Amino acid sequence: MATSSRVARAIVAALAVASAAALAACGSSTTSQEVSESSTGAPVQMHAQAFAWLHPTPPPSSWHISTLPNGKAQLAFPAGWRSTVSDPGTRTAAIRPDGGRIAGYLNATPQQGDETLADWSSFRLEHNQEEGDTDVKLVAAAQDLMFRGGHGSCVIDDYRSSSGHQYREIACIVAGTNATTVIVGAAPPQDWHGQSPALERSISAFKT
Amino acid sequence: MRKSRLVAATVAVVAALAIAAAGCGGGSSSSSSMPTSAPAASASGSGGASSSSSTAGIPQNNGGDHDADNNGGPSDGDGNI
Repeated sequence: MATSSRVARAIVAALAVASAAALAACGSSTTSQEVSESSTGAPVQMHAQAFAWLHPTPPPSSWHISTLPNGKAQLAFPAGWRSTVSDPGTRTAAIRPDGGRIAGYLNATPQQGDETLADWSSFRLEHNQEEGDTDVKLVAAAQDLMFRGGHGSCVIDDYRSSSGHQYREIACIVAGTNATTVIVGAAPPQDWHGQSPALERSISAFKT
Repeated sequence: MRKSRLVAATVAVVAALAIAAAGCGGGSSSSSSMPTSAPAASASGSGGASSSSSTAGIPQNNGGDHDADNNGGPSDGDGNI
């Protein structure tokens, strides 16, 4: 009787160890899905100089202005760009030099999910990965940036979309007097030098 | 008495193992459903489609709006999947 009791206790102990190991393995499996943080390992606020171009200024008079359906934000884009179909409630503009390939992209979307100004850089990178983007890499991020009539957090990151196209994006969440809205500007790496001034100018002109 | 306690402990541990296994399985499924088509080359117009201002999330009806975000193009600002 004593022997069988010892055996039973041993079985329970073994099962407990196996259970703990399974839980530990379950937790660690998510790390391979996590987005890589800055390659330098520096705190994101140290990249604030990457947003030195951000000067809240109205757009040039020649630019188009597209108001979001909720009336609470305006997306400005250059005359050579075209409005494109996007999700309901949002506005998107793009430039396609050859009629198909996207060389520059701008989008404004009302805050929809759990994103906040405080967690923006991690939220955005994880969100992109959850949508199927790969090779997601943080370039820079900063908080407490000034916008027209508000303030916000921005992140610059690189990723490869599910179709295999690479993009660099500037994504900002802006808390303004009317609403909290996200603005995204993106371009393929080979177009970044040529298109980033327009993206940065649009983001500087963004108002919500 | 002692035997019944051992049986109860065994049941508890097995239940914990089952919960752990279920949790692992659910976590990996969300990243496997990615669209594979090329970026949308269509669509130019006067802006977004309809003027839904729902706060419950933007409908991602891929086949309906064919926006770039749902077709391998740049990611839009939607915070939902």
